This record gives sequence, structure tokens and C-alpha cells, in this order.
Amino acid sequence: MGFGQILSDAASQRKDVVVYAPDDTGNDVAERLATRNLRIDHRRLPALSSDAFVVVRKSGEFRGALSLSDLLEFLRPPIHRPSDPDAVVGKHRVVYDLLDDTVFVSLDRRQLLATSREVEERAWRTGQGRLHAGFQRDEAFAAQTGIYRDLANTDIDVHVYVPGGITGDALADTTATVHTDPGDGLDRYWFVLFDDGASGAQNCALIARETDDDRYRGLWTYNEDIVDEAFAALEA
Amino acid sequence: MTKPDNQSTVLDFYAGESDHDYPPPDDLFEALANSKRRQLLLALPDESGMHLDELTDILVGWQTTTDGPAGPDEWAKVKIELVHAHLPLLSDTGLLDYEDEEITRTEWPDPVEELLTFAGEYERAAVGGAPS
Repeated sequence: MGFGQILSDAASQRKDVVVYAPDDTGNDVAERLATRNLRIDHRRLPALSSDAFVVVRKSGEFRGALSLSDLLEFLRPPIHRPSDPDAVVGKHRVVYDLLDDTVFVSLDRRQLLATSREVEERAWRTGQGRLHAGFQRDEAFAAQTGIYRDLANTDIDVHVYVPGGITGDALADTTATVHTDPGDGLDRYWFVLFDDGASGAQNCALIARETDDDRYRGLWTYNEDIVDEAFAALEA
Repeated sequence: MTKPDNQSTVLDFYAGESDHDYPPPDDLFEALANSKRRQLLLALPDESGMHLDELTDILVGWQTTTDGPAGPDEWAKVKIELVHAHLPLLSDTGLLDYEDEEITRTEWPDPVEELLTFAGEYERAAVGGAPS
């Protein structure tokens, strides 16, 4: 199964999102989320609090709730990407949990950077296992060199996929493996896959395909089966 | 007031309730002396019932606007609290009917309705009123 199939399968799973608000606040959430497998519903509440909130259910089961303002903040993640891998992503982690396995049809680069960061940070905290990251261009990798050098100096088996290879010898004195000919259309994907090499509890992945200029269709997941499939797709 | 006294039978109690009886003041104020219970009463629609799961969603959701995101553990905790504490108390007070996980407002006497409305306004002024 390739990355494309993984995205299609996930898109067929549905989640329900209910926006509760005392007024019309949040009516544009569907547009902001820009995703296929979320069904978004609005319900009006008495104005006990002026703050709107969002409830996410998957297959009828409660998955989580958060204020609309937290959700909107998440959808506009900071462009600044901290260089310290120990920096805390904080409440965004809860949003990642809520919206995992969700296929977003129009992710932008900074959302992908923030999500890559979430995967890399998990890898960093775990300190072992394998991390495979695909960059579409050498410049994209160059911007992350520091982080990948740090990661490659742990016990994590780091593989980076950069079409045409990387400039310079940033990873030369590390154990990282650089794949210069990803092939099989992989160069259209932005991906970061992590397998914790143990229980699988920390496994996670981001897989996104560039659709047009700087927009991506993709998902992130903590589902071990999907992470396994993603690794298998790379090794195929 | 036709409130049942200790001598009343179950039938008397239900008969009294169908007349939209006034809850005894101590019971009423005890019922309202808890923010979850006030929220719960305000969340119930006038005309129709609400399922326990949706009511739990709303109470957990309101909580997230001040306490940050909540997951399934928090949800389960709130649901248990509703089932074991708040719903039985409010049902005993006669403010709602609770059957098969379906919660329905009883018909509240006007003063109760006004008190609830006031409680909601007061809450917003006292807690939610500060600019954030």
C-alpha cells in the first residue's frame, strides 16, 4: 500500500465535529478546517458563556472538546519553529489527538512544519526507534539541518529522503542515512514517520502530498497500523 | 403550596409534581448552589429532552473555555458526576425528569425560571464578564 492509498483509506473514516456557540461564531470553522472526513454541525447554546467550543466524536464516541479559540489558534500555528526540540507544544498536542487520522485537503507549509515538529519532538523524547523524513527539496532539508543533526546523534535510526541529495556534509559525522533517489513519486510527499521501536505507543506519522502551489492534502496519525503501513510503503 | 410531607404516598408526590409544584426553598437553593447544576439546567432545551451524552458534551465543553482542552477521561468523570450526584438531586428537587439517559425539564414555576435566568446573568457578570 502506498502513501496515496493510506490517504484515501483515512478519508473514508468519518468524524463528527459539533460547534456549540451562543451565536453564529464558528460558522466558518468548516472552511478553516478544510477537510473531507469531518462532518461539521452547529448547535446554539444559551449565552451562559460567550465562548464557543467544539466537541469531536469518532464513530459516536467522545474524543475530545476544546474551546473554539484554542482550535482557531491551532489552525494558525506560529511560523516560528523553535530550534530546541525539548520545547513544549502544549495544548496543541490535544488538538493533534483530536484531529488525527483526518485528511486535510488544504494544509499549508506552516501547518506542516508545526506537525512535523510534533512528530520530531516525540522521537526526541523517546530517544530510540526509527525516524524517516522525506523532504521535497534540498532547501527544505537545509532549514531543518540542526534538528536532524541533533536527532541523528541519539540512538534513533534517522533516514532522510532528499531528491538529488543534500548540500554539504551536515549529517556526515552522524549515523543518519541519506536517500537521494526516493523514486516512486515519493518526491511529491512531505512525510515524517516515527516508530518508537518498542510498544508503539509513541508511533506517529505525518504524510502530505503537494497538490498545487504550497498547498497539501494530508494527515497525521498516532494509529500504529497506519504508521506500519507508511513504513511498509517506504520499503516497498 | 401542595408540597408532599413525610406522610404523603408516592402517588401524592407525583400528583403534586404534575401541578408544577414549587420546590421547597432549601431544596431549590441547594440545587442551584453548584455551577455544574446551574449550567446543566440552563443547557436543557425548553421543549424537548436531551440525551445524557450530549448534556455531558456541553458541560465538558463549557469547562474547556476556561480550563483548556478535555479528553475522554475528563468526559467520563463529568458523566459519572452527573449520573451519581447532580441528576438525582435535580430530579428529587423536581426540576427535571431523568429516565433512560434522557433528561427533560419539568415545567418550572415562573419564579424558578426567573431565578435561573438571573443565575446565568450573574454568572456571566461575575465570571465571564472580565475581558480576556
